[in-house]
Parts: sequence; C-alpha cells; structure tokens
Amino acid sequence: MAEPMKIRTQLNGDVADIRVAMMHIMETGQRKDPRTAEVIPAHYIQQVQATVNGKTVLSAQWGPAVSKNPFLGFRVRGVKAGDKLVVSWEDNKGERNSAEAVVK
Amino acid sequence: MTLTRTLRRTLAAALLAGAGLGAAAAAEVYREHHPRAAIDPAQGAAGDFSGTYGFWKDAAALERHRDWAGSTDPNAWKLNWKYPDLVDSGDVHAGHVAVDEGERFVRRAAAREPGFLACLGEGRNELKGVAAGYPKYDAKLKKLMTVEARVEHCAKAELWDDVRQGSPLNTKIAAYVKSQSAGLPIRVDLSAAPVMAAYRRGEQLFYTKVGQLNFACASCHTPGSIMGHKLRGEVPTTPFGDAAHFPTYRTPVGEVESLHQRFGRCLNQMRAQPLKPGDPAYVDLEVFYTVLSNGYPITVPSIR
Amino acid sequence: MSQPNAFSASRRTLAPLLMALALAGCAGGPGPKPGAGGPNYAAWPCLGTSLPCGAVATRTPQQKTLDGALNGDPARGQKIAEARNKGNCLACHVLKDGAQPGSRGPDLSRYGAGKRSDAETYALVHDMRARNPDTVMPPFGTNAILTEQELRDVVAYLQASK
Repeated sequence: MAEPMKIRTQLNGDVADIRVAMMHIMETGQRKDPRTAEVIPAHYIQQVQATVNGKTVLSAQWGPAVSKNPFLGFRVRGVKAGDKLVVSWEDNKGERNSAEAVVK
Repeated sequence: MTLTRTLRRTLAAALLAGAGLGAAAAAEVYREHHPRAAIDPAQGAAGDFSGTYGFWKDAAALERHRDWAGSTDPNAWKLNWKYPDLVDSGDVHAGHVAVDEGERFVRRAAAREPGFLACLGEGRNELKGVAAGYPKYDAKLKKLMTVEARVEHCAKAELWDDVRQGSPLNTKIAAYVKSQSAGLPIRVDLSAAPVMAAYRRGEQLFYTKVGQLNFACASCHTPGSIMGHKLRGEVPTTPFGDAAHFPTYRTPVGEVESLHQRFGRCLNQMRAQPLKPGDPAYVDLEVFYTVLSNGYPITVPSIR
Repeated sequence: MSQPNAFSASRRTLAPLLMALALAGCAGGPGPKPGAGGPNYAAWPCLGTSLPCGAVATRTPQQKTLDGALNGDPARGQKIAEARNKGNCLACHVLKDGAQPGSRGPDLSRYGAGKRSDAETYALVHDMRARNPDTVMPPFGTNAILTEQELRDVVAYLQASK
C-alpha cells in the first residue's frame, strides 16, 4: 500500500491552483549501494494523471530526474467548488497510488 | 598474590571509582572552547547577535525583502530561511504528509487507549499549545523532557509500545504535536531551576570544541566566526530562531528530521562523534537552542 | 581467619580484574576504525559524558618545525586543498582557480607572491593554534587530517599560487 498524498486546492474565480505532495523514493537507478557496490534498481514514477469529475486535465510522463517525494503544482481552468479532483500515478514497477480531493 | 582484606577493599573501591571515571575525567581533560558571545537568555529570539533579527522577526519584515528569499543574493542568509515558514505560499510537502501520519497514529492509538492522548496533553485531552512550553522539567518523572521524549514516554506508559526518539514514527508524531502549536510563541520557562541549569550546560556545550576538525557549534554560529561568511557554497546562519521549525522535512535527506537528529548530522559533518537522540547532552543543547527561539512562533510543518 | 564479606574476591578473580584495568588504561591510540557502516570519530573528543569519547582530550597546540627540504608537489597540493574529504581549504579561503570559495579566511590565491617561508607556512597549516589560540582553522597536522606528505604538497601549492 503506497504512502498517502497531500492535496491542496485554491479556487480563484474559475481557475483552481492545485498542489500535490507525493511520497515516492524516485530511485534513479544510477546509485550504488555503498556496502555491496551493487546498483540500486531504478524505481520512479513514470505516469501522472489528474482528473476533474472524471475528465483528464493533466497527463505527465516523469523520469528519474524528478527528485524524491515530488511536488506537483498546476492550474486548471473551468473548475468550480465541489468538483472532484483525482490525482494518480504509476511507477516503473507497476505500482500505483491515487488520492482524491474536493475542490474548495 | 596474597591480598589483605583492607587492600582488597581499597582495590575494589578503586575499580568502582574507575568505572565512574568517565564523568569526572571529562571535566579534567584538556578541551578547547570557542570564545563566548554575549547572549541574554531573557531576550529569547530578539536577543539575536547576528544583526539579522529585524529581517525575519515576522511576516511583514520578511515581505520587505522577499527578493532575497530562495535566491543566490549574498544577503539571502539574513532572512534565516524563514520566508516560507511565515509567508504561506500554499505549497504542500512531505512535512505535511508526516504531520498527517503522526495525526493518524495519535487518533488510532487514542481511540483504543484514551490515556495516550491525555499523557501527550499533560492531563488534558487537547494538544493545542502543549509543544510551545517544551523543553520543560517534568517534576513527576524528575526529568527534562523534549516533545520527542514525551512521545516516547507516553507510548511506553500508555500503549506499552516502543516509539524511540530518532525513529521515523517518533519524529512524525512529534511533528504532529508541534504542528498543534503552530503560530504560538515558544515559551521555555527559565524560572524553573532544572531548566536554567540545562540552559547553562547547553551553553557550555555550544562553545566546546570537538571532533577531528576541532570545531564547536559556535565556530560557525557566532559573530566573528564563520556565521554570515561563505562556507564553500553555504552561509551558516544565526542559531536564534532555529528551533522553531523542528522537526523539519529535509530535502537532501528525504525524511523529517528532529533537532537531535540534526545535531547528529552536523556533528558527523564536523567529523565528531554523534550521540543518540535523547542523550542528556542533546537535551541540554536543545534547551539552550530553544531559549534562543523564545518568543518566536512554532512553524511546523516546515521544509529545509 | 577472615570472614567472607562483600569485597572478598579470591586471588584468582581479582588478579585478572587488575590486569584488565591496567590494560584498559593503556589501550586506545587515536585513529578511526575502518569500514563497517561509516566513519568512526570516537577517537576524537565528543560532546557530553555518555560515550567514552566524552573523556578524550583535545590534542594540544603544536609548533611544528619543517624537517629538511619541503619536497612538496603543487599539483597534488591543489587537489588536496580542494577535496572536501582532505584539506577542504576552499571551505573558508579563496584559492587560485578554486570554485565556490569560502569567505572567512584570508584570500590565498596569491599566497606565493607574499614573503612567508616554507617553514612558516608549514607550521601554520600544521597547527594554526600556535599562532592564534582562538583560531577556527582545524589543526591539519596535529589532528592527522592530512598526512605529512599532504601537508608539504599543500604548502608547495600555496607557494606556487602567484
């Protein structure tokens, strides 16, 4: 079970400012374990999606350049209070996570 | 060899004394100290000796020089990294997630053992304002307590659970407890004799040179030292106001870190032996450090 | 005939105890233990009294004389001066061709154009406390932060910085 995300929304007119804190190791696959000298396998978020009331408003392809416990911030127009926001991700190992928030 | 009873007693006493030699010897061995700076504990954060207090004392002061914040401006250090603490950008980060996790643990634990919340709340079932008075002397336990020590004690006493200081869970719960006092001014009570004694001990430790590099905390954090000057790519800042944002989420580490863990990391970088979180020397240092933030609001969760 | 009491130890147990105590007093030369999970600074003075290093003394200031010719390599000395795990002189000093220098110590980028001898420079890098007891500069020689040859290489680099 993946760790929880934290979502904050701020509505200005019909533009919503969305901020998300995600918890993920974002291992690049370039680092070596100092004790065994073996490469630590890559483990990072590859796909991020945000939907409002089921309609996709953001789709992102991430890679190892994004740092541990990533922050995502974006603005979306045509949103009103009470709309349901869902942010989800899938990583290179097939693990997934998602969180919901009501736009305020 | 033949030993008379008297001689055996003397030798045994010497052996016992030898076991306690550590404490006595530390006071007698050659140690060096950084020259003392003038600090008036009664002034709290306002007694800052770096001349920068006026830039970070409140949100209005920080806004006046917002162009310094997060920039490579050589004046950036004068904001003491406080800009994101007092000026809410709306950002969320792993520090918020940690506070949420701490809250979840406390709620679940308190649901099955209400005594746990009452213990954390020092008799009240309410955590608001509790952290602002820490560290403090607990007369019942006869111990100086930090928030992290309180969490460990209450988990042991009420949940029969081991939540050690320095563990991720302890730090997250401590972050939650501190966040319940966010915005409230820190008020370490120096009128309590054990707290004042700890302050003086912590002050002494602050100036004591240690490690292979022979640095004291003061070597980088007092006027005339490296404070305010560049240390390779960094600028060491004033210790005043620092304790307010701990436990903090550290981006280079990827974890929330308590003040004791931060002491340990700094000591390691100084090539000096770190102690364990909860060590009496760390508690004394934390008392000293927190008094230097008296009057400044708690700003947890935070990110550094 | 003596009565047994709390301190009655037989000869056999007390002698080894005394031996152990005597040996413990002589043990523990300086130098960190290698490997196993990170550096060990327990041989150097530390804070508090919980750990044995709380009773370790700081090495007293040394006024070191330069023995014989310098025989230092300025190219090696530059690497040592810039390396974080060696001299890390850049942490506090501007050095010739060094990036991201510190600003606390004096600018050393033209040190060699000055009038300091090899011997004087060597003594200061070895232990600045001999000149200024309150210095923040680590005692690179006294505390074995740099080896003898590394010290000489750094001096050679400074003297070559013009």
